[in-house]
Amino acid sequence: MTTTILDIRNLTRVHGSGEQAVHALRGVDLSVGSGELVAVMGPSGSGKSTLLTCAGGLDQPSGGEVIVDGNDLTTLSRNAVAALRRRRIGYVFQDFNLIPALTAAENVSLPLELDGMRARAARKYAEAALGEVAIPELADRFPDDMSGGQRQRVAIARAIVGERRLLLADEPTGALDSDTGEAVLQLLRDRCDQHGIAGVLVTHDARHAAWADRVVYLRDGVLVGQSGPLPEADVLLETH
Amino acid sequence: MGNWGPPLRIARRTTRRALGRTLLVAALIGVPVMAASWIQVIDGATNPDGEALAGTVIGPADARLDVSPYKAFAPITNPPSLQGGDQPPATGAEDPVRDPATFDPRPLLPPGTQLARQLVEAGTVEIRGPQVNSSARVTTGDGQSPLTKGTYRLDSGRFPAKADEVAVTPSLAKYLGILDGDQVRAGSALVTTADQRFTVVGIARTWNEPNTRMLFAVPDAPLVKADPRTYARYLADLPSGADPAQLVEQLNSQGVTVLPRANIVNPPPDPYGGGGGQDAGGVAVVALVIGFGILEIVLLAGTAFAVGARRQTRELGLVTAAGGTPRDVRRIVLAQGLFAGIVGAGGGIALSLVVAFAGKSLWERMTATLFVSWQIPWLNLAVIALLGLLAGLAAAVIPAISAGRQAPLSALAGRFAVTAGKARIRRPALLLLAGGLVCAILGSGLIAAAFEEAKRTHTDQSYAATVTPTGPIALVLLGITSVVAALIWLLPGLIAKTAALAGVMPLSARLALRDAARHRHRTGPAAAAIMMAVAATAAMSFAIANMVAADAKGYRPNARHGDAVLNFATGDPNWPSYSESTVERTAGLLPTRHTWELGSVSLSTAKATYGYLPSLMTVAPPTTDGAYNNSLVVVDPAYIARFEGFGPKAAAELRAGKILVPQADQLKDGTAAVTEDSDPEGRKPFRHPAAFVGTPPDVGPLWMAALISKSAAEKLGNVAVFEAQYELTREPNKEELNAVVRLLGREEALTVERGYQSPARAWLIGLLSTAAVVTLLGVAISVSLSAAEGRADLATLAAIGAPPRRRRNLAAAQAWVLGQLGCVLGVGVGALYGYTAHAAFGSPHFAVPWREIVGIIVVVPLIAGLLAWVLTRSRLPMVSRID
Repeated sequence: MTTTILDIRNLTRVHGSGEQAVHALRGVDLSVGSGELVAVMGPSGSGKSTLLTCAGGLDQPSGGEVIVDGNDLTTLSRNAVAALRRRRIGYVFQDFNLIPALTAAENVSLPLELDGMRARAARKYAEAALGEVAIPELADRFPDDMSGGQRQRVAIARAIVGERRLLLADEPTGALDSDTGEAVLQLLRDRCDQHGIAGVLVTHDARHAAWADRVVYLRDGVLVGQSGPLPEADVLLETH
Repeated sequence: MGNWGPPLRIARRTTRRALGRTLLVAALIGVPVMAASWIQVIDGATNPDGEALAGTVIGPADARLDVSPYKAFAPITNPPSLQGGDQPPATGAEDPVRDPATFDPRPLLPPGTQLARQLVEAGTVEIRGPQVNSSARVTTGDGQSPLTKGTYRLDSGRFPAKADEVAVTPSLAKYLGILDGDQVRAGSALVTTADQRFTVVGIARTWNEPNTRMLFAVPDAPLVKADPRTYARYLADLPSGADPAQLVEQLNSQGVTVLPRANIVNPPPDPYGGGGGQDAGGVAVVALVIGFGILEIVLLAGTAFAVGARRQTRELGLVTAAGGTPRDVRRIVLAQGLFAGIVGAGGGIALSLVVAFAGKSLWERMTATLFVSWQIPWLNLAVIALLGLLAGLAAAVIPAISAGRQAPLSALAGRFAVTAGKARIRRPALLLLAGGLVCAILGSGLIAAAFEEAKRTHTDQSYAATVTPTGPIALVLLGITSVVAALIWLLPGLIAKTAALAGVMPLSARLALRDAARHRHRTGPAAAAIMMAVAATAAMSFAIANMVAADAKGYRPNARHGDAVLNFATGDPNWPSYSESTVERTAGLLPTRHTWELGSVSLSTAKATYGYLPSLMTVAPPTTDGAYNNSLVVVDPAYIARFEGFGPKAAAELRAGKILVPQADQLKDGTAAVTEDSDPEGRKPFRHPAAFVGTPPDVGPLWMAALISKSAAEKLGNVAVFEAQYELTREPNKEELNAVVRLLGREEALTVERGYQSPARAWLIGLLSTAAVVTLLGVAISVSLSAAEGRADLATLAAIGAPPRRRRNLAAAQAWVLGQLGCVLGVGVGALYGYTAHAAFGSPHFAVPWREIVGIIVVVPLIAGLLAWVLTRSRLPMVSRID
């Protein structure tokens, strides 16, 4: 039985006000259960990234509810949302977003250390997470000394370290070549399958969406439809 | 408390990654720390205390003894100390009973005590120089005794051992021309004007006056005739077990004072409570100066931090995305301030020590002070380092708060949101500004009133010393601090308002103004830092201008402008004495039109006391300060006739044989009372025909003097010429003046009146240059950071075809805008300080140093713009898309 990890109800996000108001999201509902990977697709400006940032507590919705692991982000303080991001939510961005001043292991252990864990203990978790994404040997390397694929793996390791319940990935393969991109998506899929994490993947590429259990479509801030799993990725690769 | 680990780690690594910016901030903190520490180290090395001080005062001795000519002293009321005054003789023992120089104190001391005569100044001696004679001070003592070791510095050779040997200071050796490098040439001798010959055996210096022309000799050298009333000073090495403190009372009763070593090392408390916070105004001013200095550092470094935090926006956003709280973000920026503070303070302290050690010789040569010991004031250095550290932290506070407030999404997008509200001119800031101005002007008025009151009740120039308006000074300081705080608060809004002028400006200036307004988080503190730097310089310029105005007002010329004065009445036995031939021969060497002699008159029955013959004075009625009679000066009526207004009438009265009194109330029935100066026999004044035609000219000997012609004076008694004045046809040249020096044997005997000479301006120029450098530094920091931030705008400009020089023009315009704003406000603050303080300086009016002010307001911003134009690269550097 799956548990709902992310429950978005009637989510709206309006930028600006009056005549200049821009409705990025208009009453979006979305639920993602544990072990489920949901892909969000849609054209540019459809509200995909806004949906993700609201789900991750990085942006404040104008209306509706965003419930993560039973916590309504809209009612929590900034510090409480930050605590959720440290403990429950992992974020993967398109352009890697590693802190250049920290090594790979330190980047990965950052949420744990910010949460008060001792550096040595946090490093063990970080090394384990780097092992899971198959780059344990890069633990002491700085982002500037890594390739794009390696950086994204580190970013994924940071998103999964500890006891994460929700993994949000915004175009995680956008800056990668296709082979590396596939490998990264495989990692996300495995994480959901093996650890029961709920995943939301924003992408505009159907081949990438094929890794998801479900695909939802956004247009002009409105959820216009959803489908079951697309054909397997290797099938898609063979047919295209 | 939370976890400081990740913020510290990120800050430490970012500090290393952004090394240029870190070093810039560290330098902003480190340079003032270095300067302050260096001053402390130099002070410690040149003004030691404790054992090092004892070593310079009494060498390795246990105590210092002073043998007086008295049989006994009054009982001691305060413990002996270096600062203690002379002990009065005991009641009934006021008359000298012995010659201290020949009195042997050994029988009064424990058996086995070793004594040596300390090196003390014994008088002056006239010596023959290569061209003219000169005087040199004589210091005598047992320089070869181990007990005096450390009380002087022997540079080369040895200390004299015999009565016909001397050691000399380097300046005297140089004057005598006997130096061979740093050594005395073998066989060199010093000859006195009495033709005594002494072999120079070494180069030595006292700690206090190393550059004085001084010679050292043994106590019985026939250089100076000893005054039998002068105390003889000994250094004593007591046998083990003897406590000098226990000898104090016993020797005091024998007319010998004892200063134990322990009382130098650990001085007893000052019985008069000196240094106990009596000068609250002075302390407040020093605190204000230090506070403003730190504020300037904080503002300059804060600008760099503001830009740093802005450039780190995305990185800080990532921390937030990873679960970091605003507190974590603040900690990262604050920790960067901490690291910059550590590097700056640590580097500043280390550099100060290196500079002090390496620059020892240069410092000694330039300042005529000697390094006595390397007594490093570690506690003071620690306080300075702590202040530097705190300045670093304080500089990071506002940027840290701003960074912590950024919304995660904006931060991730690299957008550093600035709220529109900050562009407003805030009413509380305006109120603070107005309140500050009122306080400063009110306090200034109260100070001026206090000085006016003191001036009204005192006839001499010492009135200023009697005024201590602590309350008004505090009010002024509060006012100035409020004005500065208000301006700093207002500056971002002011910059935003200034941008309204952009529409009518040419493109570069328009962009610069709008850029300054858009980035007011950075340009605000930068302009404030420039304002503070300029305010300090402007305040200094105003202070100096008003001090000079006060000095000029109080200046009294020795003669009419352009005349030469040959003074005979200095009381120095080695000074040229009056003779008609000396006056005439001097006149012959100068382009003289007329020679005038001024003299005093003494009764023929006057008796000399201590070599001084009392002269005549007119009696003045008592004033609130007491009774001051007026000297009777003998002048030629033709000489007085030269002074317009007063002269012709005065000359006529003088020719009529009358005394001219300086005050109308001295006149009674056409006569004035005349008496002998300090008449020892209390004879009654006699009356003499007199007149009053006005106040005499404010010229040296004529000021407030009664005048009499020579023929009238000679009827009263004997005339003694104390001065000759030469009316010259032109300014004498160097050769003519040198010829007079050779004739008179003294360089200082003849002076030419050239009016008030403003003090040397070298240090003022130095101060202005320093302020200009700080100002330019502030501008450079802000402009370079602004240029880096505005790279995207410049790229856009380049893309649409702007020529490369546009980038230079833009940088120059940005520098000019910031410099101009900071300089105008800084001059305003400096002028406020100058206005509030001008009365305290005794200035007759509020003197404005126009040249300096125009230089600051016009030239400094232009130089800033020019520098920015020259130093800005016209080509855009290529940047990677992802860092």
